[in-house]
Amino acid sequence: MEDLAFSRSFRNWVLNRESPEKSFWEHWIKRHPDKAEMVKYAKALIYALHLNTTVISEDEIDEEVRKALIRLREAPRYFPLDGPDGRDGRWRGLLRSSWFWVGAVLIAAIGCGGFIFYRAHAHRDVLQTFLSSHKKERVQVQVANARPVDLPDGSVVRLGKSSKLYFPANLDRTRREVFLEGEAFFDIRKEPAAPFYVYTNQLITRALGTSFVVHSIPADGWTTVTAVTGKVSVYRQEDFYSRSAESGRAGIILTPNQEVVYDRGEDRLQKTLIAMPEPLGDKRDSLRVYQGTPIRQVFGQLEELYGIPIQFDEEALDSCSLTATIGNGSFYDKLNLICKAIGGSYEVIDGYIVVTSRGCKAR
Amino acid sequence: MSAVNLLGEDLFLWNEFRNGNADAFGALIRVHYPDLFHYGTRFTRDAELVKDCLQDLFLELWINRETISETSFVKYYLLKALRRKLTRRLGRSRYAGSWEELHFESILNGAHSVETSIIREETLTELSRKMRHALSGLSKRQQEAIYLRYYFDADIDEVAEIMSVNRQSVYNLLHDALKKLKKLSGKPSRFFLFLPFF
Repeated sequence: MEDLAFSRSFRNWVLNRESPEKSFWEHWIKRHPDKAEMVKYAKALIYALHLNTTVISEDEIDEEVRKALIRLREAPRYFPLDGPDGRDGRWRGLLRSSWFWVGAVLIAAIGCGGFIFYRAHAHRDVLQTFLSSHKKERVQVQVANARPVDLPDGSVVRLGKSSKLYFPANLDRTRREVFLEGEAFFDIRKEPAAPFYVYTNQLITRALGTSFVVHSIPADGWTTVTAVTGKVSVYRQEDFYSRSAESGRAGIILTPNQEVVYDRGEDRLQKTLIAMPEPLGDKRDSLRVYQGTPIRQVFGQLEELYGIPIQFDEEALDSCSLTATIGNGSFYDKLNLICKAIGGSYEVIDGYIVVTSRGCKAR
Repeated sequence: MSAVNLLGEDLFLWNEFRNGNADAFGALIRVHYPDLFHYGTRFTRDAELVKDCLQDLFLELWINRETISETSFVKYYLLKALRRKLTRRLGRSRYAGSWEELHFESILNGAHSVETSIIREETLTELSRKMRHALSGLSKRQQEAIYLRYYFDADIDEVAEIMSVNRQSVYNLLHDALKKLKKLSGKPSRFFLFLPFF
């Protein structure tokens, strides 16, 4: 009852009169005139305890945290782990030797220098950037479990094993942004005015109202984004954060069954097709009987069924036609069959199929 | 104030950190940095020294992450670890390490705090000054206990944990401190019951 001075709410009100607790405390004081003296003393104590704090700015804190992370990422190489296996004593002796430290510091300094240079040019900590851009809100962390995650905006996320999703509590009202660690299937509610962003440490995916899969598991050397329905844009974090004029063009657009693979070692994006393309959501794969059907038409139907662009030399293949029954196989089964029939071959280039054939005139 | 401040999320980040997740560790230290820095600068005005100690602390935590225990009070764990580190550092550089002489800077160091614009009621200025005087007459440990109660909403057990003393000592520290304040300030007695002892 009398612990006013140690009450956070009272303190907030005393030090900041415009606090939300304002009306509560003004009311309280009016209703308890007998407590006036007590209030006065509690206030005096709060003023007396008010410290001249050494101010540290948010930027400085960010810098310190960044420094710490750089140090610790290098750390295990230079410092022994104090494991439970009783090597303690031996290490202690070594740790006491000043030469050891001189050496360690030198190595660490060189390492850190290189690392800072490398990081400054290649990577930023996306999670930290994400968290600090949502500083004013509450950020929730959802760990994988059996049930899909229902986001406040109506989008649904299914998290893969030991994956995590960070999202701000008021996702529906502001920019729609989440941070993913691990892998997840996203089914995004259409909201043309508010793009949905999925951040990972390597790639940033932007979608308007589609479904896609993001796979970003630290142990794997690569990150992938796969479009399931509709289009998504994928950016390398470096391109995404760069403010340059070309940044708008630096993303890669994916259509269904296309996938982008980011190789962390090479820091490179490659667009390709998924291993088992699926017919588009609203299309049914059915048995098709072709009887001397022009090849243009066959490819056209395949293109339409899977949403995968197929390029070929129209002139050269003008003479080709297909007589076959196709159905039930995978996309590549069908493609193989068709190519065999026209004596051609195909390649996957940049998420497209490119068919080459000398044509069918000779036959 | 901070992005991730729920106890559960704190705990989650802590456990992630113990599993070797550097991003979680980064988020964790980002959240607690302001409080740790604030507490650290109570021991010394040398902000660079505090930053330095914090860097060492983070590195040690990381290196020892696998042997660090699970804790539900991450903040207090960190405060305690920082305190131990600073004590050792300051002890080494100044007074060969006697705990009693720990340089917990007087809460009221410098004459400026009371005069700042924070005080909106003139009539309280005199009273605050008196109270500040009374506070500065307290032992460093008493000041620290009050500070922890006041700034970090730490309860008696948490103060005991951070200061590495037992519960009874904290109780005594606070009790004596408040008795002294009461004596110096004169009246009124009821106000000084404001510490909930349970």
